[in-house]
Amino acid sequence: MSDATTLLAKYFAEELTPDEASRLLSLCRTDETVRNELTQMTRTERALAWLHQAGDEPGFESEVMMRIEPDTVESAAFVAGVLANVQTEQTALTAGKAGVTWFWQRVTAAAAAIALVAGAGLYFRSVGLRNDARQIETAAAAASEPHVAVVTSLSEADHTAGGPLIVGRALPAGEYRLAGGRMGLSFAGGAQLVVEGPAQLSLLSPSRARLNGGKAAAHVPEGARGFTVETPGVEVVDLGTEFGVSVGPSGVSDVHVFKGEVEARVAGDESRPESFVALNTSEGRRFASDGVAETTRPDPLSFPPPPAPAPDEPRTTGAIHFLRQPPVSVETGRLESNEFILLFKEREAADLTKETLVSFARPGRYANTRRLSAKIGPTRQVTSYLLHYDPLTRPADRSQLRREGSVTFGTPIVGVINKQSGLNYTDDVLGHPGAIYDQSSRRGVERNKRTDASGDVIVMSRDRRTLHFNLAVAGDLDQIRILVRSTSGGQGAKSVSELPVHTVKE
Amino acid sequence: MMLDETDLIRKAQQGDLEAFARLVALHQKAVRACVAVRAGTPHDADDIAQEVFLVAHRKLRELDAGQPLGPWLRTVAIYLLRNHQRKIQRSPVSAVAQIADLADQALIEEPRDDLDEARMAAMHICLGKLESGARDLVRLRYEEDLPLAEIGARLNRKHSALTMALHRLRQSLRDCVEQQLSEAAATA
Repeated sequence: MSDATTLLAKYFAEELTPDEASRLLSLCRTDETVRNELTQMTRTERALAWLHQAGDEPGFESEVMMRIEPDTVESAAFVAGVLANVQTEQTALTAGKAGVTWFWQRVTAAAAAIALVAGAGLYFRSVGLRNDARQIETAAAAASEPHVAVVTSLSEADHTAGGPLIVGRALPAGEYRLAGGRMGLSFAGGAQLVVEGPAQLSLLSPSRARLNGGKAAAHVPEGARGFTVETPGVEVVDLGTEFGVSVGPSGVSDVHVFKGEVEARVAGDESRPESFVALNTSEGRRFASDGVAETTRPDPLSFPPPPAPAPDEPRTTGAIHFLRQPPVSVETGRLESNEFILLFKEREAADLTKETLVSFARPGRYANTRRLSAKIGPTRQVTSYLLHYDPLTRPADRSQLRREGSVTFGTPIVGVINKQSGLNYTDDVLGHPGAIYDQSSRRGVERNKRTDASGDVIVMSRDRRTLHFNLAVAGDLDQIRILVRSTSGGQGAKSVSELPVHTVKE
Repeated sequence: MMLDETDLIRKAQQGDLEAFARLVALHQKAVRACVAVRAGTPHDADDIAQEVFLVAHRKLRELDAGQPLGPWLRTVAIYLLRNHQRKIQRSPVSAVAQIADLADQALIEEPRDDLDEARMAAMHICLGKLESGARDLVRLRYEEDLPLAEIGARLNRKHSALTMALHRLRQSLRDCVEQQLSEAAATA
């Protein structure tokens, strides 16, 4: 065996002594064959590393789009919509040709010939996995039932069945009874529902619920259009709107549209087009238990107010859901869900009286940033939010499931903390005074051992208002504290560019 | 309905973000494969690959819509890789870093072909053909990311033998990839 081969083998094993390294370097410089061998083996080595570590990292397209057009809430939602379309198309194409993914449609002739024997696998997993329905399905098979909605608020709510309801708990499909009070729910499909007890509510899917008794009101953002509430007599399909539904003891259903348009139809009977009723803003209708429309118009005030987001509330897309009340505890294992990434406001207008270390404070893409590399403050008033993602378990097949979503704030983001020590250090000043934090468990974002691949990715938009998250469903708790400029108080009036942000030396 | 690439480019040039998103979806595998073998770590690779599309978006208007996008994106990728390489070159450099630089330079400056994506796909097929012992070795090294000493302990194999075994494995994978490519070219 030649000296060069042994040296190259040791080079790729990262085991060259300094002396051997010099020898190999001079061989590479003087001998074209050795140099060529080095080049080709480097290509092989990197392809192997990439295929095993980053090759199936999803989220690439959405990250690119976020970095291009990050400016408004609308654009974040728009980008999510665009990507959903693109992915549906890809999935459709994949389905059309068994064993040949969309990817193969456009590769070179040489690769296309290979494709015929390839089938889908490691490298191409991401294509299918980006389809959210499939993600939920796979995760469900590995863990437990998928969650379809999360509790975002509770006021004097009293539940009698369906498991303990607490803010931040994600709920699987099933029936839930509310003895009294109000409960806010955010569905995986994006719709917001508030239910007023006494009520019986069945969660059917990420975009469908059944009200068997009681009152509810829905706020359905653009992306969640088609959200449906059924009652014993009628099915109310949202067409972009806010509406209220109630079911009386005799099975009579009332529907009122606060804003937008809905379509009400007899449940389960599409053969009777005459029973179709389109209702617009401020219109309402009563339906008998057999679904027949009556002339009575329900009183709009008899419904709970629709759960429209408050003007200063961050706008979320994807798997991120905003809790309108803080959870009691964000310790590991308390609010577990593979489907829901939670966000809540921790502290309003907190004074940063000393310099605070954050992971990053500038626009850009951050993969597995663990170092606290920027300082903010003092003299700043900030409002803090916590992003909390506690997946149930990593799927048994060790597939790289990911969850994505973005959050857009009304004021600029001044810093993001995703390292455990940084979180622990700021819990007292920036954490919610009523919530329990677990400082002993791993709570920052995770990273791979040798490389930085296949971990969590955060992108901050150029206008500093939006963060896009792509998190691995890996069984570990991820918590990320987000500091935004406070809207209240004179101290918050400085523009972001005046903020004392400087990079800390390693 | 799928539009053809020329239509998508034209629409994207007029500011249609959806069209641009489709172009990203169409070309991301090729761009990522091209960058992956020429950037130091997988993490750097995806950063640079995203940068390619950001530059493409900024410069889109300069592109002739009738021209295929792939080669143009590869040109942008190579340009960014050169910049990246310049940035990471440090002095004084260790001999090992200089060896890596030599390889990087050769890969970046080699005559351009459009086979990176096909090579990556072929590598995937070749990995599937490995017998179980070799597959374990590859998994421990590239997926579990373990140093050779630990792999040796787990597989109960001598360290020096393992270094050479891994090297032979890389060589045979490389041969397999080339064979796949030439077979595919012959049948195409």
